[in-house]
Amino acid sequence: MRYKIIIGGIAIAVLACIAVFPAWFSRYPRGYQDTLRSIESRDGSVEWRFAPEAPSDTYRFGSDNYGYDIQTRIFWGLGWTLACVFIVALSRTMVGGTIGIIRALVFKAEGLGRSVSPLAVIPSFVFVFFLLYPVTINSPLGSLRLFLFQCAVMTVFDLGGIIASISLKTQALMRTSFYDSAVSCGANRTWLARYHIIPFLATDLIEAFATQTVAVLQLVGRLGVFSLFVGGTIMTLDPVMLSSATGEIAGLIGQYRGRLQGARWMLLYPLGTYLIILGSLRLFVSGLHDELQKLDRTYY
Amino acid sequence: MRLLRSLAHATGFMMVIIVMALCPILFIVKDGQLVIDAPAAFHAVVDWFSGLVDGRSWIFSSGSTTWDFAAVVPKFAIVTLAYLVVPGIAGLAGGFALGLLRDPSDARHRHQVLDAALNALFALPDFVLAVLLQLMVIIVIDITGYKLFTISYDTSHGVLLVLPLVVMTLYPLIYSYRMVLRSASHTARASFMVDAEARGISRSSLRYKHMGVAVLASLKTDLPSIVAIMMTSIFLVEYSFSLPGMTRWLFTVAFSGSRRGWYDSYQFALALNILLCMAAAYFVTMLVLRAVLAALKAVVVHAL
Repeated sequence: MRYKIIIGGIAIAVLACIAVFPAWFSRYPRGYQDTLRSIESRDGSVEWRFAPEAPSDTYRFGSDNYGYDIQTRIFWGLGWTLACVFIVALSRTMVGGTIGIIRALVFKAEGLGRSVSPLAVIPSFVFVFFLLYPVTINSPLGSLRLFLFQCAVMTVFDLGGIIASISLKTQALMRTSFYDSAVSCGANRTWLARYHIIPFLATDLIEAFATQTVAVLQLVGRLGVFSLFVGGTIMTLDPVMLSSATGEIAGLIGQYRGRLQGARWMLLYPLGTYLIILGSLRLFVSGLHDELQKLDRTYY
Repeated sequence: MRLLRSLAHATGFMMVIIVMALCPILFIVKDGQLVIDAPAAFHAVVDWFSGLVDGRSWIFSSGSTTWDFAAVVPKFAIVTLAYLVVPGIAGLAGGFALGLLRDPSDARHRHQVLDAALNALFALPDFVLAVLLQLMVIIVIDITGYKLFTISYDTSHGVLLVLPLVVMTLYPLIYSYRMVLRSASHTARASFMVDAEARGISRSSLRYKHMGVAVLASLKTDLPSIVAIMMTSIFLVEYSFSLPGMTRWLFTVAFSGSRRGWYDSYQFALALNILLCMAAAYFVTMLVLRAVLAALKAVVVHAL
């Protein structure tokens, strides 16, 4: 189903373009705020508009209680969400893939044990929450340093799946005749990994990366529900609120989560953006999976 | 030897949960730097173990009130268990029945539509599904004035609400359905099935007594994945629908200090106790679902 890859890829490219150049697409500068404004009509009468404002020509996605334009927040926050998703997915694939290959080559491990993992009992996002909680709220680390720390923590958890999968596939390659021939010819482990394992695992690693982007997006969304936002959570007492320091998409959903009954646009637009990102990634992953299935994998 | 291995595994398992609960004490930001405060973490663990004997580890505060953990935990545990066990049974049995009733070789259009719809639902994260369901109820109220379901827990209604039950049931149901379909298509080509068909055994007997039992065996191996999915959803569902369960208790009280539902301070003993109770809930759910699979096996072998 090549159309899935094409549609998903185009959607991801458009999102990435907005994320990289938000100023080109948003009407207002970053952090633009307008709680009260007046409109003068032709007959000279003045009409006052208070935040939050419903979607209109002035604010296409509406504004929030404090006068922030939702569209501007989404466009400027998109970069943080996508950067987190791609950086963590790439790190997980590289770290998990490397450990998986080493595990199979050096330790000749036969898959993961059947014992119950604590990660099955307590979900990984709760582990991540416990690790990030002390540093994320009113963090003195600054958004960028905190972001890198958050990415590192998110990378460490959920590595088990990739390690097990790559380890099993490496073991399958180690049972092939070309691998046996290389061993008989005296190839060492580095040579074997470089020329007889990694080239054949490339498609699996690409697929693992794509799958991980969806998993990371879900993880970021779950953390957002509990007000732990990528780039930091700002806790203020006047007004009493937990808000996203970067305005990343899951953060906006978490921040406006209670907006179900009034001023619904505050929740709907970030939620819609999150679903567009998720849908694009899923479509791309599904298409990629279908395409890779067609490839000849007789060596397994 | 097996007992020793089990003991070592249980100890390792508990240590991971203790280390996890220690993270907010272990990692702190001091003078703008992230530092590891090992002495504080060590004292917290020692205090927790000694507090188990003298009762300090069973005390926690919520707002300005002090509570006894042992006295209130059953109230929260029952809610969490109800939302794990009831949807677990419904999802597992429903997914098994749906998957088994469908012929794996049958690729008619309505089945493709059903599969596409279920796949789309399964792709939605639990917290998004919860928000969409709540939104749907509110939009129906706005349009018709009729309230279909309660959108979050309040004391005037019971704790068993339709929407959280739907969210908790959907994921195990779809997962089991997909696993049953996959397993059924493998089983259909197995030699014992071909042999049984050649002996002239009826189609219903083939489907239930042969394929059903084989599918149940594969479902049993997938049970940890099903329960793991539910363990993730329960945290989001309790929080999203304000259910008075253990996981919401964890986030609204263990991290709250003097302000309920706020991130003020951290109560290590309470967090650890709740996490250990959640581990117990996992094993109870697993046992119940294993019993359900055994019951389903008895039904397909003897009753159908």
